[in-house]
Amino acid sequence: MSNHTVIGSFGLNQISEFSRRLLIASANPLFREGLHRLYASQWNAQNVRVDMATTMEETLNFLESRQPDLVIVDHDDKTINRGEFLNRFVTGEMPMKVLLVSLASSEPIVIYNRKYLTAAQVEDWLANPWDE
Amino acid sequence: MDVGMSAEIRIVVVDDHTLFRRGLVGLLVEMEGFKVIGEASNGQDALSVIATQNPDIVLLDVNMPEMSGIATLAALRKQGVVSPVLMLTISQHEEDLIGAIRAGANGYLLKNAEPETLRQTIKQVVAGNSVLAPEVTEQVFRLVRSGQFDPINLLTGREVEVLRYLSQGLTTAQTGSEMFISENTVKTHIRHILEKLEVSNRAEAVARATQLGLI
Repeated sequence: MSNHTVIGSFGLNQISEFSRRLLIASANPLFREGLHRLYASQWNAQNVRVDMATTMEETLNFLESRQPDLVIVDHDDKTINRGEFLNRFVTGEMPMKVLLVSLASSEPIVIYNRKYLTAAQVEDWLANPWDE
Repeated sequence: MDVGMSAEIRIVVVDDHTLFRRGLVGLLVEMEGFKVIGEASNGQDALSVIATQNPDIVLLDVNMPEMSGIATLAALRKQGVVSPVLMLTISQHEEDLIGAIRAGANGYLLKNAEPETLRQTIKQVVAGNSVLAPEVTEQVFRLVRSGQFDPINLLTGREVEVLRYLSQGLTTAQTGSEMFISENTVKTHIRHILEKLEVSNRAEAVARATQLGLI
């Protein structure tokens, strides 16, 4: 299957018309495609562009070229390395959300949500940083 | 079941990883001829779902907390469940592979398989074939060649000796007397034998050991 999937009838030259961009990075087709099917109708209704990466290199390339709003990373430390991805995420500046999951582990899934706020917004945010 | 028949293959999916399981079910229901009739996120739930649904095949994860897939499979076989079981796992560890085969798995496929490979494998297993993922086939060959897969390595020499006496109809006390060990030591050997052969009594142990060529 193609390494990028556009849900809906939008073309490659219409990237800006998508309201959100999502990247699924996983070396496991059953997880990648299963997740896609599971949320296809919601993502379609939300006008989400979905790309899929199957290797670390593809993942990093998609981060640069697509600048996704959400990245779902299925890390196995063989094909897609958790540390390498997190290092890129931490040193990068893209305001994206990251969902870290591993099929090899029953541990809870980790979600990172990087935000950029103005100084004024931070004042409000600090008033109640606990509930979002 | 004859896979040439038009009847749908009825599947139960057991995996603690909710996102993977739900996605897998989504893929399976879109495959022609497949019907998912049950799901479970742990071994205990799997036992009751499978017992009530009597599926044509079970897709079973290996690494699950509390009750592993292999322990679940052993419990299913102990209950007399004969439905084919296809292990679907990320694990390529030898102990998982050997454990699954010994517990009665009919197939061992990795989660990095393509959906089409899974579809074909399910059909093959339901048709009565045993299927291994290409990635683990070499491991099985190597283990068999090295003798690690030999049933004789399941039991110690003393345990085999105990089994021989039991097969001749000797009591625990008589076996202890023949082997110059206490009755309690014989009972300990028997407990280990039952665990290793995954059987529940001495008669089953003798039958299983005979089947494996151990005695």
